[in-house]
Amino acid sequence: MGLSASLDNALSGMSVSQNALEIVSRNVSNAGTPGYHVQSLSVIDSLGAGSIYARTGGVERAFNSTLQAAYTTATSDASYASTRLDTLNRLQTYFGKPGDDGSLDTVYASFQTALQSLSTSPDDYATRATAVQAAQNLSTSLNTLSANVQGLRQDAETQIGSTVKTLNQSLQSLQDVNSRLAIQTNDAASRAALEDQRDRLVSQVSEMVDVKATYANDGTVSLMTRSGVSILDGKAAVFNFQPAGAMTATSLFNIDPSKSSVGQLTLTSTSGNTIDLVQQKALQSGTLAALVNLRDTTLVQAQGELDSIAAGVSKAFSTTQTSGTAASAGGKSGYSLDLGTIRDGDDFTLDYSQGGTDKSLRVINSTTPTDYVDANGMRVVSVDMSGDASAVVSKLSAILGPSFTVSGSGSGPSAAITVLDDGAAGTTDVGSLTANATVTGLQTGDAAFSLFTDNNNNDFTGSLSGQGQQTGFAARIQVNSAVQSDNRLLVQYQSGTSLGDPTRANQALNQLQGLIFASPQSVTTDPAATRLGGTISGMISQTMDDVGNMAATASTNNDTQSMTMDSINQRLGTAYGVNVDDEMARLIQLQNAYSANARVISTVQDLMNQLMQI
Amino acid sequence: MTIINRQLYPLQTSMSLINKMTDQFGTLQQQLATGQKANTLADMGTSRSYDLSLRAASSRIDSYAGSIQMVNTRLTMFNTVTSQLATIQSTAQSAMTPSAYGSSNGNFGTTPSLAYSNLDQVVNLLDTDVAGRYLFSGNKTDAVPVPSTDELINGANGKAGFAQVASERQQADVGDGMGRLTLSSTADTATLAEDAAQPFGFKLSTASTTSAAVTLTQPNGTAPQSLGVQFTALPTDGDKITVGLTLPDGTSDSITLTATTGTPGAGQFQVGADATATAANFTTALQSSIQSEAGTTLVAASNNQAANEFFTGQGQTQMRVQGPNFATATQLVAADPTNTVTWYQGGDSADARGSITAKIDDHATVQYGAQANENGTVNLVRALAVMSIQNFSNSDATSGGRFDAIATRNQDRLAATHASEPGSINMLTVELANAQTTTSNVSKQQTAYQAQLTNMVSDLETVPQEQVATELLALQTRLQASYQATSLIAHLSLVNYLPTG
Repeated sequence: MGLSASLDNALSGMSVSQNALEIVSRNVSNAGTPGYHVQSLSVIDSLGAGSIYARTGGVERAFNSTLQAAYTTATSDASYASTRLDTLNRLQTYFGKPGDDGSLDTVYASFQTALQSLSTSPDDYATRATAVQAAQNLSTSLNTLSANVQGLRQDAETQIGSTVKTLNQSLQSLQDVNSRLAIQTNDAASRAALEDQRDRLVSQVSEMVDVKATYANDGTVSLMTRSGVSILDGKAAVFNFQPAGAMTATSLFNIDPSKSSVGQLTLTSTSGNTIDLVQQKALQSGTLAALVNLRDTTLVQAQGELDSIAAGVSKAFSTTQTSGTAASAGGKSGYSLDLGTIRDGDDFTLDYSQGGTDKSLRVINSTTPTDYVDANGMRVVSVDMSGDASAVVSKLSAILGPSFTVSGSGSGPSAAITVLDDGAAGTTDVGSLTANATVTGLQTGDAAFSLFTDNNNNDFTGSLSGQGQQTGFAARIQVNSAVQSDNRLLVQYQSGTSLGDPTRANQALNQLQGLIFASPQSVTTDPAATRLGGTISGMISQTMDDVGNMAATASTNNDTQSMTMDSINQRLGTAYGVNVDDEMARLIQLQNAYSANARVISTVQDLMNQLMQI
Repeated sequence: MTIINRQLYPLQTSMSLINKMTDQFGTLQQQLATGQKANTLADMGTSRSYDLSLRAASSRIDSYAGSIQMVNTRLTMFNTVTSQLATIQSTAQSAMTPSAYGSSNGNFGTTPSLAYSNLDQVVNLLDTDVAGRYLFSGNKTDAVPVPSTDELINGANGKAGFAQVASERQQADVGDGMGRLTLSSTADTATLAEDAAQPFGFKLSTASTTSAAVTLTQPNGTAPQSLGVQFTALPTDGDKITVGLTLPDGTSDSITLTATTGTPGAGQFQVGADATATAANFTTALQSSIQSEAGTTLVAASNNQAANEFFTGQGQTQMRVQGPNFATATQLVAADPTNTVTWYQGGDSADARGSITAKIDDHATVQYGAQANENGTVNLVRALAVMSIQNFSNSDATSGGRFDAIATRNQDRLAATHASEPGSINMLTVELANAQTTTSNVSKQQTAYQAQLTNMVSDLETVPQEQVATELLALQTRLQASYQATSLIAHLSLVNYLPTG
């Protein structure tokens, strides 16, 4: 013990205070820097030779890995929600509000009004011209909405591309930071700065991809997606995006990359393996997942709804329904139906009851196999009717079972089938057998006609071949060019019929109001996708409701996520933030401590002087 | 809210809350300005699908309202036209009274020309159109239903009009003046026979007598028929022999000859020295009577029948006499539209009213078709046309007889007793008036329903101004408080209290 010990202590105290001041000043200057974690100095009292003096133990950076994990998750989810909200907000703006000029329901209502006028005054040129105009408005609306939806998909595709670029840069920077952190020789202050940089990058990455961060003791971080794909482990994996060019309604994702016509998002891992992130469903949250989901599911579904409306409107005009003729044999009764007029994509429906339960079956003429239950509860199957009627017979027999008698004759245009119940046993009954065929030609004496056509004025039959004629039909639907050039075709169902005959207009009105449609099997793989069913007006309402609903849900989700973000931010603030008051108080403390140490030194100096003067 | 916490991060949180409040402030301001509750589909919330279905119902009513207005215009026009037709019908009927020749037979000249001008009016009325749509064309509303009166009567462009067709029929019916009958007497028997199995001229129906000296052979019903009058003895003075005839238009006529021992006048025959002489006298008297009838009643009946065949009713085919050599024609053939005026060119449906329907509600339809060839109008046209082609003059001895015969037939055609028959002008008026009543009832219901719908839509879509204003005030207070608190906390820092220098 002695004066020198006191001097040592005071000097060590002064040096600790200086270090602490440095930290305080850094904290205060970085008080507003985003991502800055508050630092503190750990002071150790160490036993020296005859003295216990204070020593700087190192700079400590506030960090809480649990909080950090919660933050990382919340960032992904919040950016997922906000990306969805942005796009869906745009989508609902395109659809407009009910009653807005140009919104689908208004356009359809004015089309109906025009048809109603047409049925009252079919002989008036102006009324017919108005009806053609209204039909064009309707098809243009569908075209525009379809283009808008595809535009949004295109935007999503572009954004995926740019997001992937940013993501790769961030991962590269993170790899650099990792490698520098791994070198232990850096001084404490710069390590803290590197760690700040690391955390910033991690949160940047987590905005785009949902990641789980694992922090090693040396401060390095490794990242993997929530689904378990490693993104950064020493070395960074590389995201690749192969854009597919222009987006149309028929550009769809397919599990088989050779059939997929959308941009391909892959990840080349550190070991050199490449995986398709979309196909493996590796992305669950974050901007990328939201964009992929919008591009491949949500917007595709919106397009599907528009296509269903377009198909319904077109079919309401072109479908001619033919009821089967009553048939009976050996006490069994039922119906016979000619299949000749049923074109590829057309269908016939069978209402029957079995064991007291009423059932409906729709049989589509197609070579593409299908079997599902539509939104109206009707089972839909397909069979190739181009050949012998026996194909239809065997299909129906297989579905209906032995308690029905199905027979057929002829092939091609002369094919016909007969469905009979079980007669005296009375457990089954055939309710009706109706052909829904698309008419050929504009003046065949049939009130039905193709007012709306596909590309190149081809008839729309809803053929299932390829991707199905309905896919993207909303983008292609147009008013039959023959009707545009001669609006008398709206009335004259046969060459020379009176222009005063409202048969055609009435039939169209009846079918628009009476025919029931259902979306085909959803083009997306999403089982929860909305499928429309009902009359055309009903389908339009459902579509607008669905779009509104999606936007509202996205908005609610976004609110929830931003609330979560807010509360985590608040906790982050408490944990990592610089409290200027605290720092000021510490400043005063340090100032005092410094002055006190200085006083000790000056006192020791005085004492030494007195000692020298002895 | 942890607004009291003095940390910087909470300040940020409260900043974001303030931002939210500002956004809400903006929304409320917009609501106040536009009166609209929502700006986007999402904002509309659960009322979205309800709103859509209300709007769909409302727009459907709007489109029905358009139809109703159009139908109403047409029905009002119908109303005017049918009441004018009814007036012409009653005028025409009273103008054609048998024996009303007028002073110095003035009506001989005026009645046909009056009928022609009436016919002209009727044709004009039947050709009424509302904005290019012809009301009396059935479902062929773009076709002029009836050609002009001149074309109808006098023909045009090589097509025969009614005057010519009627004259041909008249030639076929009158034949050589005996109305296609032949008359002969052999010994004590006079025989009256139809000249061939053909549809023209007189047809024998019955024969009767009050004399015991006469044996009659009745017509046997198989064309050509004949009738025999055999005098087995001499008839006494005052004995009557009546021959019943059927005319081309289905009416009946009879010729009665009375035996007289004196000089026979019209309608009498002289009892001769023996049966053979009496038969010869009877034959001469009968010939004279038949010729007289053929010049008057037969002509009227022939014209009338020609009108029936020319002015066809619903589902009928226009017929014409096969010719030339009409006087000996034996057949009627369907008129060739290239050489005969087609009087009605509209749509021909058995259910005229049902030929035009308008859907004026989801479940209500009105039928308001009319065809010029319906019973009422076609009979009016026939009556007027027959009269208008007549040529009466004082010098023509048959004028009086024809005038009476035609007047009687026309009176019968236009009699009020036909008013309750389907297709009569009366029934047309009633049925169209019913349609108008239906439309007006439906229209009233729809107006009421539309008002309710509009109310409901506005309840869903508009926002009460008072509520928004109140919310705006409350929000303003909260926002001000937050601003104040935030700024207070921001100032509450030790930095501000440290001694300077």
